[in-house]
Amino acid sequence: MIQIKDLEFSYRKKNKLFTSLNVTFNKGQVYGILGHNGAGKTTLLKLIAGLLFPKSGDCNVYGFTPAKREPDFLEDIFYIPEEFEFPSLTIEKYVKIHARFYPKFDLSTMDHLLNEFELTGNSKINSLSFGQKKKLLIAFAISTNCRVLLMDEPTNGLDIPSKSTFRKIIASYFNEDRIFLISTHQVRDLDNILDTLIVIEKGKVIFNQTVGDIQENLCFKKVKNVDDTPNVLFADKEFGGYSVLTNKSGTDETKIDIELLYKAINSNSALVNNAFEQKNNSHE
Amino acid sequence: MNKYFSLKRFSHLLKREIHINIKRDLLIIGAMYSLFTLVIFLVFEFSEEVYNEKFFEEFHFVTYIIMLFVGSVFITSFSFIELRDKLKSHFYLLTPGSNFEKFLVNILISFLGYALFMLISYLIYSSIFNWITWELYQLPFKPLNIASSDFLLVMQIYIIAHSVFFLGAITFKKYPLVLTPIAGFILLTLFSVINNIMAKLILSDMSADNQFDNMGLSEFFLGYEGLAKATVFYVGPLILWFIAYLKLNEKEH
Repeated sequence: MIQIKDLEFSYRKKNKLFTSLNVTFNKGQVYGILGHNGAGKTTLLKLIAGLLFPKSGDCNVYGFTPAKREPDFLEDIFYIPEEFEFPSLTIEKYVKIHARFYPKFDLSTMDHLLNEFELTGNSKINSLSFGQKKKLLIAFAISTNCRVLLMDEPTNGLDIPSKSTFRKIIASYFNEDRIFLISTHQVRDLDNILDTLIVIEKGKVIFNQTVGDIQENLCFKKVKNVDDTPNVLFADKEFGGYSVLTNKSGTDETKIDIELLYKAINSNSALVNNAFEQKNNSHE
Repeated sequence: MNKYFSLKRFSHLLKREIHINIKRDLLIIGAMYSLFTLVIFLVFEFSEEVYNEKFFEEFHFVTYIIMLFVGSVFITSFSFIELRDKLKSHFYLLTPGSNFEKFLVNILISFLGYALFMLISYLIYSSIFNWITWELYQLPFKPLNIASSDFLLVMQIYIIAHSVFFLGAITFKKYPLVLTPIAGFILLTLFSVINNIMAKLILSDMSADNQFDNMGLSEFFLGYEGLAKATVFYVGPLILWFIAYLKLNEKEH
C-alpha cells in the first residue's frame, strides 16, 4: 500500500505544489492519474519513487520511506518516465546488466514482451525510435515483477497497435499484489484497464473513485437534446448532439467515457463528487 | 539483505558502471597516450637538443605523473555523469543499490582502478617506448622507477586531487572539469585573504611570519608539522569524500 499523508512539496520556496496532499493507493489496483499540465502528476510519481523529497508530511510505500532509496525498496519499484535516454548498448546487454538488480525479474516474460512489441534482442538501443525505446522500457518494467509500477505518459510515442498491446499487457501482467499508477493525458489509451481514477488539480486530489463506483453512480450517454435529459451533470457538445454525464437513475451500466468524466470534473468537481455522496447518503 | 552494503549488489553496480562508462574512460586514456606519443616522437625527430643523463633517468617518472594527474582529472570529473543528465539520472538513482555502494563503485573506478590501470599500462608503454627509442634514435631511457622517494608524495597529492575533483563531480551539474578548479581557486583565494586579514587583526602586521617568529610560534607549529601533513594528505581527502557521499544522498531528479 502507498500512503501519502499531509505531504508538502515545492520546487521553489514561494510556489508550493502540494500543501497537504492526502491519498492512499491500495494493492491490486490500477490507478489512472489525470490532471492539467503542471497539476503535479509527475511530481507525485517522483515523490513515490524517491526521486524527489517531500518538504514535510509522510510518504510510505509498503513500509519504506522512498526518499531513503533503500535497495530493498528500489528492487520493488519501477518508474517509467515520460522522457528518458538509454545507455549505448544492445537490448540483450541492457537486459543482462540490469535484470540482475531485480530478484523477481523474469527473463521469459521479457522475451515474450519483446516479441509482442516486435523488438529483437540484438538491436542497438540507440538505433531504435522513441516509441520502440518506450516499448523496451515497458517490457523491462513489467518483467521486473516489481510490486509498484509508476508510469508517466506510457503511451506517448506508441503507435496505435502498440497502444492496444500496452493495454493487453497491463491487463495480463497485473495481479492482486501489484499497484500500477499511470499518469496520462491520453485518457482513451487507458480504456478498460483502470480500477480507480484520480484527478489532481493545483496540487490537490479533486476526484478519487473506483471504476465500480463510477459505474454505480454515473451514467454516460449520447443525446440529441440536453434539455430533455434529466440529472445532467455535464454536457459536451459534439457532432449531431451531446455527450452527457448524468446521475445514474436506473440499473443499466454504461461504458465509462473517461474523457467526458475528466471534462466534467474540470468543469465542476464539486457537482460530480456530489453525485457520489448523494448515492452514499441514500444507501445509508 | 544489508541496506548499506552487499557484495552482490556492489559487484552488479560495478559491472553496470564498467559496461556503461568504461568506453569513455578508455578513450580518454588512449587519447592521452596517443597525443603524448605523437608529440614526443615529433620532438625526437626534429629537435637537435642534447639530452643529459638526468633526463633519461627521470623522463618516465615525470611523464607518468603528468599522465596520471591529467587522466585522473578527466576520469574523476566524469564520475556520476548520469546524475548530470535529466534523461538518465532517474535510471541511476533508482538502480537497486545503496548510495554507499554507488559511491564506492565510483571511488573504486576513478581512484584505485584508474591508478592501477595507469601504473600497469604505463609500465608496458614505457617498455615499448624505450625499445623503440633505442632502436630508432639510440636514446637510453631508463625504466619507470616507482620505488623513488618522490612516488609517495605524488600518490599523496593524487589522493587530494582525486577527492577535490570527486566532490566537484557530484556538486556541479554542468562542466565539473572546468568549475572544480575555478571553485578551488576562489576558495583558496578567499582563504588566503581571510588569513591575511586575521593576521593583521591579531598580530597588527601583515608580515605574519615575522610576528610568529617574535612570539616563538613558528617553533610551536613546527612541532605539529607531521600532524598538519597527515591532516592535509589523509584527513582532508576523507572529509571531501564524505561530503561527496552526503551530496549523493541528497540528489533528487
